[in-house]
Amino acid sequence: MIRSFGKDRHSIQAQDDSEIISLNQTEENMKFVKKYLNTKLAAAEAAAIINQSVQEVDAVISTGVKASGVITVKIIDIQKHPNADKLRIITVDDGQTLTDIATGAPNIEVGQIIALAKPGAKILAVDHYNPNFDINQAEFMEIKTVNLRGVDSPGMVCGPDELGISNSVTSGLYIFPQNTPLGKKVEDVIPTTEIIETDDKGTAHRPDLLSYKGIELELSAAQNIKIEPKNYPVPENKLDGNMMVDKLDLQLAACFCIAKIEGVKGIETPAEIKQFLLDNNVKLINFSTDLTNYIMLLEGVPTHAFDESYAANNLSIRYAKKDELITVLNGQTYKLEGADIVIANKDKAMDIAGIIGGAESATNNTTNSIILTAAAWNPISVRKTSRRLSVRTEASARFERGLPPQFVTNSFISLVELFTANGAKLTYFNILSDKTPKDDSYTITPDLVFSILGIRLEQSQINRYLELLGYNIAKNNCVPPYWRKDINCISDIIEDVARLHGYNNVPMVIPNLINNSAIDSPTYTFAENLRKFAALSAYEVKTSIFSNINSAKSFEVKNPIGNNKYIKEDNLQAIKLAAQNFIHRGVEIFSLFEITNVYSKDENKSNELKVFSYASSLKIEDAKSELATIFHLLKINITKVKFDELNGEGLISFDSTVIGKFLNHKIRQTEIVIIELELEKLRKIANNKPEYHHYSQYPKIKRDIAFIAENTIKLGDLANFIKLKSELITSVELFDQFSDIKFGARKQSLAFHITFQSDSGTLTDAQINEIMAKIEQNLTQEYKVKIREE
Amino acid sequence: MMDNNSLNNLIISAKSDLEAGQSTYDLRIKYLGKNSEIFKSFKLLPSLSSDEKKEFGPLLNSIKANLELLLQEDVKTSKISQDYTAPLKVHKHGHSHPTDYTMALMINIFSKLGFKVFETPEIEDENDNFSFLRVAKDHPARDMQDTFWTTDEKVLRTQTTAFQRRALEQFKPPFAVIQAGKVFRAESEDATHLSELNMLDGFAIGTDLNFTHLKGVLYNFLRQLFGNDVKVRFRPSFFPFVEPGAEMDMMCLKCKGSGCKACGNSGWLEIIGCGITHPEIIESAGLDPNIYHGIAFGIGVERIAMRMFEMDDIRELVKNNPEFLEQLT
Repeated sequence: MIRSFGKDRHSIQAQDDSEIISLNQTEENMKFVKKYLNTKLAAAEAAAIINQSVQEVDAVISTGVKASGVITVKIIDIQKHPNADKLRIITVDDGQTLTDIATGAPNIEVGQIIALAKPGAKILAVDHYNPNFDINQAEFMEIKTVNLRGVDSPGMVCGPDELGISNSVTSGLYIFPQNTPLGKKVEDVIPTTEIIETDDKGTAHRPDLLSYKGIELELSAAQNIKIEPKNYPVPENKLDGNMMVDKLDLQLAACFCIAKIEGVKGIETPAEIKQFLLDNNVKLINFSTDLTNYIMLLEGVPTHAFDESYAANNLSIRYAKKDELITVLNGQTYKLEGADIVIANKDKAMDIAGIIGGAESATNNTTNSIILTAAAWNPISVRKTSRRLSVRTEASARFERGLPPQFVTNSFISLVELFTANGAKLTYFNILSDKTPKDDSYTITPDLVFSILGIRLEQSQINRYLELLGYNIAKNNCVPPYWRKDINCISDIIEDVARLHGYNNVPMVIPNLINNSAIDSPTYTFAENLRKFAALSAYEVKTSIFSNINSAKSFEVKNPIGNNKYIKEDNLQAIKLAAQNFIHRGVEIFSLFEITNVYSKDENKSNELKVFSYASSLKIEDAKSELATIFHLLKINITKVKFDELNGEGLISFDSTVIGKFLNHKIRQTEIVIIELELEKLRKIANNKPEYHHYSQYPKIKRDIAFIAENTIKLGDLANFIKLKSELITSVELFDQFSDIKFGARKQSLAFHITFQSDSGTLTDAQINEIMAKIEQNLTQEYKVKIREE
Repeated sequence: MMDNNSLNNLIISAKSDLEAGQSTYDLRIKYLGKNSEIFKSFKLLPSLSSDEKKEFGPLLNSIKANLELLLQEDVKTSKISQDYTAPLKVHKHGHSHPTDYTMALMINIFSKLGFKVFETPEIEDENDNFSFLRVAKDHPARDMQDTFWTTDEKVLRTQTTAFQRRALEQFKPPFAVIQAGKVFRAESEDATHLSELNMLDGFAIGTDLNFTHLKGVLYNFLRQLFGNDVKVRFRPSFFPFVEPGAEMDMMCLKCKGSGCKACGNSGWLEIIGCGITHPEIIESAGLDPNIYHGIAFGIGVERIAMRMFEMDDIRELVKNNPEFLEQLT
């Protein structure tokens, strides 16, 4: 079980300490070698149970041989190929017969034991000439006797990639150790390791799950198998003088354990522990370090061994002095701060508590006496120091979760036992621990379970689930096991009951929620309607909250990504960038919109305003028609909406209330109009209650008028001017506008439909002619237009 | 003066005028207008004897009806000026953004189940986003690399769950609220991560809400979104504001559980974090956690959108590329 950091998932090798160093902190998954989980289940089955009742499983990895029909053979002769420079003919021995095989492999020598795929064998087809070849996509191919440049080759010698035991394409052959028997199936020679990789992110409150024992207990409990906790007989305290301070500061650690062990030099690490460490991808170092690594992986408690000559007297745990320097096992020297915790001798810091040991005081092959320490370090301190120094280790990952004191002391005792059982001598032993009594007895009744889970369980069933997880049950009270620091209330225990019962065994019921079926937010409902209507003609875009525009009212972000460190006060710039993107993508005719928040602060109050942001490459009158259509659908009276323009920008108002603003931008050759309206103001002017208006029963009469006018004339003013000429005019509508050189410079032809209607009778030609004559006369006088006679 | 034959001839002469190409407008004036034979004949009708009335009344009506039929203003014609074979072309049109489209669908489903939309600020106090939700001061989520902080110590909310405190302040239980909106994570973007994204949170407090209801609501939601044959499973998970906490997985729609690229070969997609509201949260709102229980859930909107549209790169959702935006909604 090794934590992998970084996307390549290469495990980090242990230094000579139980603190395994990493420089990359992007990914942190625990890897459990299945055979050490003490279960008869297949890896996939065990993984499914862990995933379903303990924590997420990321992957089940099998490192075994994937090829079949491949055997071990020894190279007994190598000859040149008669017809090809790059090929050689090798004679191989499978223990019974000799075979000649043609190969292009570079790394061959007589005497090597290699893998031979005989005709009928299936190996992975690897394309060695394609640098982008993905080994995970490789398919199996069947080996046949082939003729390689005139030489028959009954089989093929294989590399680790072709056997399926490599994560990448390799160039050479797989070479077996010299004592490997010949003629054996390679899958029997190369053992399969099955690994269950768990995702730790969801269990930051469970230090016990970073250990084999922790996972094993949960896995058994989920199968209704009870594991009896190990009994830890505490060695007698052996104290000889002033080895360490006798008082424990609980701010630093909830317990501190110390032991002096002599005679470790020359003791061989037991074979099964060596194998365990190797299978877990941990480098073998020396007896002391191997044992501490072993206990950390097995039980989840990191410990630290000092060379006795550095640590013998006046050992203490304390806060670091400001700017105190320490050179640690990864070779780096760090400058410490006052909040960092260290283990120190009388002169200086020897270890950054819970993170990494000092280089100077480390054990080595000549060390004979060690000072062994363990502590339940203050998790917050460990986390802060580890982040600040950017040093994440196997130790810090565990201490950050907060190890309960008894969890640490029990593990320390088993570690000390392991030392003495292998011939080392315990000469000093002391445990200081937080003795504050903890009141953590709970009563979990069937009614309580029902109120939270909605299922009826018998008391005996509840008790059984809790017992399986290590709770002490006395009558109807339960006490959580010492290793579960995450259990702090009844709900925590009910989650344990639910986990063992199976989340999927809880039925699904649709509740009868009150206030049935109500969206109930007028703002949301209005925004949704606006969005739907706008999306009929414009693209909805999404822009970033961040901006590079600053004002006294803008929020500033302390830790921006990139250069935009302010928060947008309006959406003008943001939607302009979106429009720019459209233009860069070759789209020339478009309208965009977004309904988004903009932000500002007044004194210390923050204001969030929802706006309707719109940008269009259409001509302004077409863009305005598009908006008018949206307004119309929202039942906003468009005759009351006014644009006041000066120098390409201005305000938009409804009656006399300002509801928004607009401006013009030119991106490349395209002119863009950008409009921003306050959503709440729009909502207030949208009339959701249709009103009946009296209308005339008499017919409408239409007349057209066309004239030549200056091209600077304001069309809105002009239409209004015409309309005011008579109360009988119900609408004035521009229907034609064009320029022609024959009209003269800066002149244009304009044509309007004018509609007349009266409330009191059908209008006569004479009545209308009179009004038209007045309009023509007034236009000629006021606007200097020339009426066109058709 | 009124004679059967001349009246009947009106139909024949109208037909030949029509075939000669005269417009229906002109012919209506000629045959049905104020100066037409038929109009005049109708005017004479009151002066006739009752026997004559019986003879000419129905005749006039029948001829008038036939002329009306013949001289219809609006007739189906085979001679048309439009080209019906021209290719189909869409008028200038717009598109909802896939994210907002998805968000609206999600809100509608929960709204029908009884959840009210309740909106709160995106720039929040640290308390609403973290402390109130039991994300302790020393929790890794508080680190600078995960959260955007403003210079005046406000938080660009990292989760819509931040609305729980305001909901508890504003509503008296029982209540059920939802909110969908922007959240922010100070992390670098890749194919599955955005730093500005959208989330939907649901939160209900009542006296009789429990885990079965949480499951029921969420299962119902996914069925409505992805169809009745969705398969789900619930697993233990940890979020500080719920206990028990759960993760809801949905069987991969693409491979139906056998494992494919979209689901990382697991056959399942992690889709909703949820749980029973932690008693401390109920308590800090001044309610008795022995009486009131809550259900809470949070769903990544973009994740749902990616599944709905079978996308493989979440960044498409913030690029504002027209070629993308016009594809889906």
